[in-house]
Amino acid sequence: MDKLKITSGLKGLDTILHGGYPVASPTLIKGGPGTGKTVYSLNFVNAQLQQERSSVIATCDESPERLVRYMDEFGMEGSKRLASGQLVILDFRPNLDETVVGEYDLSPILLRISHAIESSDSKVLVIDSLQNLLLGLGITEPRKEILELFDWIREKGIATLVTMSASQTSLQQSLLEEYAVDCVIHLEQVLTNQLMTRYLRVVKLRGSAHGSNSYPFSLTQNGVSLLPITATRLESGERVVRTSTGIPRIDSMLGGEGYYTGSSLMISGRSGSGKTILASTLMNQVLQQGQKAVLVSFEESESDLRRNLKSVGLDLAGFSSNGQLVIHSGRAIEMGLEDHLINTIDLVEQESPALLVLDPVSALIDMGSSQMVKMLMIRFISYIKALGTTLVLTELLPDSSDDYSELAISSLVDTWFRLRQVESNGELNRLINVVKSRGSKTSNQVKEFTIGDQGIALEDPYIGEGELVVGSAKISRIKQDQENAERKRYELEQIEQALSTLQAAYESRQRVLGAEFENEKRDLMRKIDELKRQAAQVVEKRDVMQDLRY
Amino acid sequence: MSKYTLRLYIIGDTPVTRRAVDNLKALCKEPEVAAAYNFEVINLIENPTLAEEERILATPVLIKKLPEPMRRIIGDLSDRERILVGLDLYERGEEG
Repeated sequence: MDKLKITSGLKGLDTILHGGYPVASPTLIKGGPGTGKTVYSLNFVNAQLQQERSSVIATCDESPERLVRYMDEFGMEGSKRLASGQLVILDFRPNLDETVVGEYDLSPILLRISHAIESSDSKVLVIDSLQNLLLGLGITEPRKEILELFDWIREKGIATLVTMSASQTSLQQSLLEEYAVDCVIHLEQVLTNQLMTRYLRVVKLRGSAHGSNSYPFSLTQNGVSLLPITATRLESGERVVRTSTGIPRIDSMLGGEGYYTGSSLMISGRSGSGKTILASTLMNQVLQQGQKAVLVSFEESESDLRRNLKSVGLDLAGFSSNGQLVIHSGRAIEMGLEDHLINTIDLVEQESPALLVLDPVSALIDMGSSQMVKMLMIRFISYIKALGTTLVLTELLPDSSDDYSELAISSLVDTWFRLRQVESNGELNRLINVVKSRGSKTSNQVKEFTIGDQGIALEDPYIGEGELVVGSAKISRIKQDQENAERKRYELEQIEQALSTLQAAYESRQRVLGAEFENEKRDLMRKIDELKRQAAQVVEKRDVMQDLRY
Repeated sequence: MSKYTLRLYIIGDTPVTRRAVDNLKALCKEPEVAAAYNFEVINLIENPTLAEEERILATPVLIKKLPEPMRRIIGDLSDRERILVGLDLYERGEEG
């Protein structure tokens, strides 16, 4: 970590600030009521206490007792640290029974803070909030004593976090921000579609690079969670290991051995197309290998999901009870998209699963403008990828969608399955194909599958005369084609038989003809002989007659 | 009858501090006040923990704990009337 920075106690914020708050000068956190300023302060203090750095909190809103209780509730061991003297809380709440008569100054503020810091040997200070400190004294503008305090903080090199209400900025306040403070962070709450989202923005960080966008964050039971930005730099490592889908024929559609471990997969399909079952099949395979999985469902309750999956042969009860599987079920409308994603990330960081299912991710997509959703999903997908967790998203396609994805996030995923139901001959048949799979020799085939009590089973569709035939049409087509072939074979036999009959007839006729020919020939030859003989007799008789005429 | 104590907390030696001490001394010389109160000046630089205990944000500050209610007056005590009102001494002063 940067030596000039000190951890904020929040991983996401440290990333945005390129290491943390400035180590030796004040940081100002501005935000309206309820934006979480105190929670940021407590996280900061806790992170320092964990590194055995003593810390001083000057509280101007909450009583010290409540602050300690908050810490205890966040699991920060506030009372323990207070007892050990590592944590000092100064009660700077205004006294309401005070009257002001004549001139005065605010030097006790510096005196008390410096005394507390020196006697506890602290290098860390939180003032929460400056606004209330001043308002309690009937002062609306930061006075020179406050600037002196900030000067002293710099001089002593104390890492300081000051919170302030962001109501309105006066000249003095902007002076404070521009002159006395090295880092200014704005917190705000934005209400969109009746859902509240918190945002953080770094307005200024002197002498350092920092993320400059508005970053969504969420106040959780552990304190603050920011949507991480680390992995948007596409630094996720090379993936070479593959994981089987659990269905050999789908594996072979992906080139033989399944999908790349740690990649992101999307399963698109209309209602009832089998998305959840396919996603759960992938999850089941990972669980079978002894790895962990997290399923976040936005449509089904945990018990419904279990029952439905059990009916197709996916019994998850054992994995839940041994802690391998965590199912989180909640309605999409419960909170904003950012909070959903942040909660999911918290869950993933807590469980470190090999595989995460969001079912269906499209439930979240309706929750904001498509550009914002895409931006958040890019961050989310790449962060999950950077963790090495396989991400399985299902996308519910509306019935009017013509089976094409309506999410702009398909380009972000590595492998994309499309599930369809095709109606023919009064029945629906299920089809699956791989729309894309990066880095794999992908099958271009559309396969038919069925969902039975043993889960998903693939079968090859029948390719008849140049078209795909599925379902019972397939069976009837096969039968029809068989009949066709039989009929032809029969016809062939018939013709062959006719031919040989013809041949035989021809041959027998030939024989008859031959015999007739021979007979007639013999008769004619006999007649020729007869006629010759008779002619010879005539000549003989004439000779005899001539002899007699003498 | 034992007297109550008014405590003036100051930091260092500044014109404002001196004015406050002088004003308090003058006030406590008035018979009505002197009858009921002693006074004490405490420099917080020598006793920073007292600033913590009394939750002091501004100095000089005059604190009257007893009799109830507690009163705190911030400033150089330059307006006698307002101090008497602020310390709930005014009426007593009039009657006495």
